[in-house]
Amino acid sequence: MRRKITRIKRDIVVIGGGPAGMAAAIRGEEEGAEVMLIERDIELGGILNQCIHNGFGVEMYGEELTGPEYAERFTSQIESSDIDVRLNSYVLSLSPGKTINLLTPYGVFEVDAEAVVLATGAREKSRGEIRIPGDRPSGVMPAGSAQKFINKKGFMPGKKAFVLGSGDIGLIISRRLTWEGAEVVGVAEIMDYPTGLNRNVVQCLHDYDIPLHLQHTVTNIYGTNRLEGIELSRVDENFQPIEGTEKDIEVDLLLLSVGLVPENDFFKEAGVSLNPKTSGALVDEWFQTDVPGIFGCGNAIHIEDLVDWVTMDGFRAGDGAVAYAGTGSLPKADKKVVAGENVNYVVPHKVSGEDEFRFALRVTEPMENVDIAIKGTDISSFQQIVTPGEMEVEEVSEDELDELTDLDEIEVEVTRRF
Amino acid sequence: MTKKYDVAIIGAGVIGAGIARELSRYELNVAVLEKEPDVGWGTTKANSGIIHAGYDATPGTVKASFSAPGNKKYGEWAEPLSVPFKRIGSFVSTKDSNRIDKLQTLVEQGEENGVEELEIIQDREKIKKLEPNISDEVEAVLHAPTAGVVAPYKLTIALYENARDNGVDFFFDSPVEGIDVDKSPGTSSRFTVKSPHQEYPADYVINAAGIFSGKVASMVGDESVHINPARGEYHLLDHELQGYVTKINFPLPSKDSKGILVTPAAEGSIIFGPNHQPLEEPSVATTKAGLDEVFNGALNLFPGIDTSKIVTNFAGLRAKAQTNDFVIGESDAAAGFINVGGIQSPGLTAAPAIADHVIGILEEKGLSLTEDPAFDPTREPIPKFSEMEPEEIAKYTDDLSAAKEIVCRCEDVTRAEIEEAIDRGAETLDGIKFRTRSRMGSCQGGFCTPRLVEILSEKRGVSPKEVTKKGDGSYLLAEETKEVE
Ligand SMILES: Cc1cc2nc3c(=O)[nH]c(=O)nc-3n(C[C@H](O)[C@H](O)[C@H](O)COP(=O)(O)OP(=O)(O)OC[C@H]3O[C@@H](n4cnc5c(N)ncnc54)[C@H](O)[C@@H]3O)c2cc1C
Ligand SMILES: Cc1cc2nc3c(=O)[nH]c(=O)nc-3n(C[C@H](O)[C@H](O)[C@H](O)COP(=O)(O)OP(=O)(O)OC[C@H]3O[C@@H](n4cnc5c(N)ncnc54)[C@H](O)[C@@H]3O)c2cc1C
Repeated sequence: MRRKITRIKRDIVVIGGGPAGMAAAIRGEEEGAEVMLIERDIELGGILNQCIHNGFGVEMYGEELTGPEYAERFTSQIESSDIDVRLNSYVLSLSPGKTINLLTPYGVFEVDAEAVVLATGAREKSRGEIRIPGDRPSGVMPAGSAQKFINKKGFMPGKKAFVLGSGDIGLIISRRLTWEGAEVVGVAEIMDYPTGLNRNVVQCLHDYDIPLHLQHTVTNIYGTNRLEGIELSRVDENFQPIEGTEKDIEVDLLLLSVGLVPENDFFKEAGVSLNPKTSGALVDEWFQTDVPGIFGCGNAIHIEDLVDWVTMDGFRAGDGAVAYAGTGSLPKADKKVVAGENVNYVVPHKVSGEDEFRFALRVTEPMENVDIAIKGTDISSFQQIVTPGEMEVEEVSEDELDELTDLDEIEVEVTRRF
Repeated sequence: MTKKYDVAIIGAGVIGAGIARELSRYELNVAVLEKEPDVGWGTTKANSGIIHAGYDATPGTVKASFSAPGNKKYGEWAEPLSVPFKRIGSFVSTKDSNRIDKLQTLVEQGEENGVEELEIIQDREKIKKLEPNISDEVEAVLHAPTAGVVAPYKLTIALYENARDNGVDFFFDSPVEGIDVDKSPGTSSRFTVKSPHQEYPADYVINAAGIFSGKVASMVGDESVHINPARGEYHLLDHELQGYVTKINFPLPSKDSKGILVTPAAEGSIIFGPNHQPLEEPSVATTKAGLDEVFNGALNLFPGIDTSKIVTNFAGLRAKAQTNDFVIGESDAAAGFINVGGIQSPGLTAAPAIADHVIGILEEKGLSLTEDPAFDPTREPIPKFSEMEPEEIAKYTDDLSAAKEIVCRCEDVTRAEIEEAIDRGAETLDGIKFRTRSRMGSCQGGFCTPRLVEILSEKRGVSPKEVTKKGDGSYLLAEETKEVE
């Protein structure tokens, strides 16, 4: 017997129920669209669910919430709305024409959407991607997996740990391990500055006397069955290990916090162009990609350090999706936004210049007393300290749009004042 | 009472498992003893997975005599056992027009070894048509259309399952530590094979212990087998690059090895490797120098390949006998003890031919072979969700609720697949990995490991703390957290 595939239609389908997807879905529904929100996990919330530390919502609410508390503000709103939430549901395919094959606990569906928002978040880089040689024992894992074991499953993945990478995940897991009675022998960072938020360096490492080894990396892994130790080496300015600086450290756990990569499979499947710098999709000011009607927001576009920005981007993508689902188009975004001096990347990649917008950027190196500006305009703002670890967000207001009229290309630059 | 075996096989690599499967055609009691918790965890799981055409081995060597015949027989193994195997053809390329004669030598060697359809291509356009992304500098290639790729661990798992279904007894976590020969007059068997937990009386013993075959031979007083390990390292790339490389690509071979190759693996990823490093002691640890060598070697043939898609690296050990050839035959030290050692490359290719040959030796030495009418050559694979069309998925998931949970999101592996792998014998995360591909994709288990630990512990009725990556001390979890949220 051939099983039926049920066909349904929705104005907007949001894939991914983390903060980005929840915001997009909420905005879509508020504006009167029929919205489906697809999440593969058993609950909404995304990464927030495993982040039981404080520090979420400072920009949005002026409060320091835990991840689950922050998520709850959105999940409760979604529960009392008409949003069609599909949990434990997997998108099998997404076509450029916005037809989605969906596997749910209730069968397989084919969903035709007017607009699709991809909010699939990011995944952690693995040992293989950064090519650490050595043995292949158990006890080497991404920090996020360890966080899940500890915070969601109630198990400690080791007793004596070393953490590679000083991003926020690495910093926060170091403190968590310490609280749980494990010994964190050290944190190593290949750059000459910590890549996580400064407050996390203080609160997670300094407060617990955990040494931070800048310009160091793990160059070997020992242990046939279980991890027995690692080799730590200093690196030169090209990030190559310096011979003679190797030091063996005995540990039973090595956590990797060496970066997140946007989950971009569906963008690729739908033929969306990606930014090689971020591995996320190229988007305009409404977070629309270059495939009409396909939007993206949150960590799926670029790795954001504060959930507040993720939420705001999700709202904006929701606005875009509503407009597109209603009229089939949005104002043409034909002004390219490019990364200029000292800027690693900037999002969005294109704007229409007809509507106020926000842009987010990361600098290439830590700097002091700088102006973040759009070249050839008076649009500029002063910052005392900028580092690649902290995303900078600037607004271009309604009044400032005039200044962009004559520009074909908007070049964002960061320049030192003195 | 201890079961008495006609044949005891030491080692469940592709050689031991292959011989066991071929012996299961007959009415015999066969035991396989393996020191690891699973099949194929020696050299068999970490190699290039190439079913060589057979032109590389020097004519007249034992290797040469088994290569082309092994290749010809591959379909006979892969089809009934449902193992991923594709004859995609191989290239040996040179960028130096002065060295085309080397290709000619390979053709002549191949013809002597019985390889068919070899051709040298010097037409750039034709080369690029067959392999679009190969370096523009390649002047000539030797094309061997009969070469193929197989998933070596899947093949060995299939051989094991089929042998087991046909009555062979497998004993895992059973390192052989000694063998008594014909000592106790009361017993009728010539050998008593001893592991820490059990003794196995047997008339014939087959030594298929890979890099340890010298050690096992010496257990019966045979000191003629000397094995030296030589490591080969690899990079594995994400299946996203599927199609970028279509053939098995070798540079010109050197004295020690066939060089660093670039090939699609049977299951869709691309691999680079191996290098060749002779070692004093066996070690499958990878090294920075070795991985760099492999990386550069691959770029030589495919300068444009996206190396950011590297997902992992690994190494395997060649079992090099002193003679630099396979050591196959009855030992001079003990009648009925058959060495099948030193099976370096192309041992995977040769495996079906070796199995037939070894059975021939057993028969010649007096083992009587009666065909078992109940023998079934087929083995069903675990249904693969990732290869299903939406209609099939609708049916599959309707019939099986565990199929609705996708556990590994890089390779799209369902809980049903994981559970079936466990039912079929996987006891560890690596055992599940080799059967289902979970943890083999781009995130390397970052996402699914916590769930896999849960499923494995539930299915096996053990605490999550007892779940291991690969047996013996390779636990994942040290202890409970202070308070469970
Ligand atoms: C350890 C850690 C600490 C942090 N600390 C802070 C902090 O203190 N303060 C702060 O403001 N921010 C913090 N952040 C950052 C913030 O949590 C993230 O930026 C934010 O969660 C990203 O939101 P997202 O919705 O893009 O992605 P996610 O939260 O990852 O959500 C993506 C969702 O999509 C789902 N999904 C993915 N693919 C599919 C699919 N194919 N089908 C269905 N569903 C799918 C996933 O299951 C997931 O639920 C932290 C992040 C981490 C990891
Ligand atoms: C880098 C590399 C690349 C290669 N590429 C190819 C290729 O592309 N094509 C090809 O045809 N061949 C290739 N080969 C060769 C091929 O991998 C081997 O010939 C083949 O795997 C050998 O299988 P085996 O069963 O003899 O050895 P193994 O797979 O090593 O099996 C031996 C088994 O014996 C067990 N064992 C050892 N001692 C004991 C004991 N005392 N008690 C119980 N059990 C024991 C081990 O645990 C192991 O499982 C390659 C080899 C290497 C190293």
